[in-house]
Amino acid sequence: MISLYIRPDKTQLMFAEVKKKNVIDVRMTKELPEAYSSFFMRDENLAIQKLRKMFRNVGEITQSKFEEVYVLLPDSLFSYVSCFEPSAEAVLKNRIMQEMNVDSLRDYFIIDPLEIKAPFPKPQKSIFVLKKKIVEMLSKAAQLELFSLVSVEPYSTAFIRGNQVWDSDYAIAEIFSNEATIVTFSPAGGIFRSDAPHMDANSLMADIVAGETAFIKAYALMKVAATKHFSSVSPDLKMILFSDESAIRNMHFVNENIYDKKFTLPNFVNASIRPQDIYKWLAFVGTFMQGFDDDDIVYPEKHSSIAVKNCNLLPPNMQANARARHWTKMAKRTLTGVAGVLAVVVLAETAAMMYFGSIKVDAGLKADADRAKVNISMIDSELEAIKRAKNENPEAMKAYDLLIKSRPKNCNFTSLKVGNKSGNFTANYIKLEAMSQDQMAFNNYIVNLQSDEFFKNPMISSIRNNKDILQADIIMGKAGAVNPAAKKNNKKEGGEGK
Amino acid sequence: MIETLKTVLSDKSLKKNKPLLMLAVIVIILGFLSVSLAGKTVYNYHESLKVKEQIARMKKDISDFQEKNIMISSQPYRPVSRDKVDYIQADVLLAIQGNNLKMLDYKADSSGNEKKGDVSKSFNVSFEGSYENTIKFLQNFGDKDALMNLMEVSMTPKNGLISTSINYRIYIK
Repeated sequence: MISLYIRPDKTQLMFAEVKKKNVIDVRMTKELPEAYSSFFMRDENLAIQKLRKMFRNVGEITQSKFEEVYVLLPDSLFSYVSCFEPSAEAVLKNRIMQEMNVDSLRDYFIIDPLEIKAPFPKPQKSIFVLKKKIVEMLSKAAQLELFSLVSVEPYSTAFIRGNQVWDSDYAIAEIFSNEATIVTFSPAGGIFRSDAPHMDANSLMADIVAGETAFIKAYALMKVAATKHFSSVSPDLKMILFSDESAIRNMHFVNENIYDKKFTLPNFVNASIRPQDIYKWLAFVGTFMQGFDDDDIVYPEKHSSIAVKNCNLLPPNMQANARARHWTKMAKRTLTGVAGVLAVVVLAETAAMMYFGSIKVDAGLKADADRAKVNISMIDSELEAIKRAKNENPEAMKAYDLLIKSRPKNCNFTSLKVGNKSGNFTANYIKLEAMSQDQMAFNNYIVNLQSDEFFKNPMISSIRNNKDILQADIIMGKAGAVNPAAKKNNKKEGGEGK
Repeated sequence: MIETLKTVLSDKSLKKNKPLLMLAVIVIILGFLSVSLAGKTVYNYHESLKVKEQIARMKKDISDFQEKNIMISSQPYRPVSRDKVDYIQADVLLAIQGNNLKMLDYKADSSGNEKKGDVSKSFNVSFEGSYENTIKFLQNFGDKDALMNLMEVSMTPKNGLISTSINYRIYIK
């Protein structure tokens, strides 16, 4: 949010952000060319153009749009600032018209920001009157430059709120080149303004001695007026001086009467402002504080008899309109962003959907796989047959060769059987009938066969004597042979076990 | 706050804010579109995972097939189809004749009650001849274009010749 102090000589700007827990984070303070003169232009269109230019500058400097803008106006711009005893609205208006010497208040906005109630002996109501045209021009210019004008407030009330000192009275002297005014605040009486026609900077600087005298006179007149308005006034009423002229600030009278309390920013404000400049920016912070709901934060140590009311000259309907426009713009911006994001999401989803949908099984691959599936079962059965052939191969001719090789010379075969139909080579792999005249030939043969790793348990099962020729039955297994029947049974049992 | 809300929602304001309403409608439509597309995308994603799994399975089947095909192609002898068994059998009988052996008996071994799923067929052949011819025949027995096992060989000398009885299996696919 932005606060603008439209002074006669220049426009001051504070750009801040209100974070959660009511913390004001000041991002920027700047000075812009004056726009104050637009309030006195005869041509309203030209005046609005000038104010629009100011808002455009604000947008360029802060790089923002749709921001809420709080405008501060010098008290000298107000048609009337004073305080009265509380009375009926009609009576009060009549009195204001008399004081202002006008027939009607139709062209003016009136606010009563402060009311001093009992137990103070003299209840008072502070009144600020401003031409409607000024507020309307500001509102229109802000609207055209896409800003939301949410507040138009007197500089003094914003300063008092920002200063957060509610237990002592003080004067606020706003001295510009061609005009000056003194606004006095009293916790016992409220706010009133003393016009100081000869206290403008140009007059004071023309003759500094005479100027100081004029200052003293104006200040004295203000004090006299204060005693009329307020039930009590501090004898040494101090002043807060707003002037860019060091000669004025260095006046002996000013130094004697200057407000001597140290200015501090409220503790919920984060800003890098030099301590000696803090008082210049208190009103900017003060006007932002209007938006705070918690009175304990905004008005600490304020006596309950001081009632702070509405200080915003912007009528509720214009405030609501401005906020509505602000909300609408924010909603538009948010919805546009959301629509953009959603559009990207929809595009991404569409692309992803199409990509995932495009993943299909290639017809060629499917045909190959189908063919492979059919052929693989044939290959499997072929491999199974090869495996079985390998397992049940009796290697008959190898066995025969080994039998011949191991055979002693004096030993011959009368019959030989290698292998069997069942494929069980564990015991009955070889069955041979050998003959020899020497029994030792059989023994030597068995020894030879035992030394061969190919055979298992070669042994003589019987020996017969047939006419001095010995006949021996020799049997043996095949090394490493497994009984296929036992293998099958094991498999079956294993399967059943499962 | 309430005042602002009333202003925002007032007829006049809503009429002024037609673009805003249009934008809100667009956002709602895009939202619905996004949600429905998300559903379809998730469905397609799961389907694509299934398809990818299917593709991987198919590739594995093809790769397994190729691997086994290479393996089986490298085998010196392979099982034969059932209709080729007779040709192989004829080769065996021809080899007996070719080695000057006299065939005594030949029969297919049906003791095992041949079943459809059997991977081999067994045969019994008896013949006689000289020792050298018998050994030559036996040594060259496996030299056929088929996977065969000589399961049993019985040799008995008889009148200067060798009487041989063999049982062999021809493996089929």
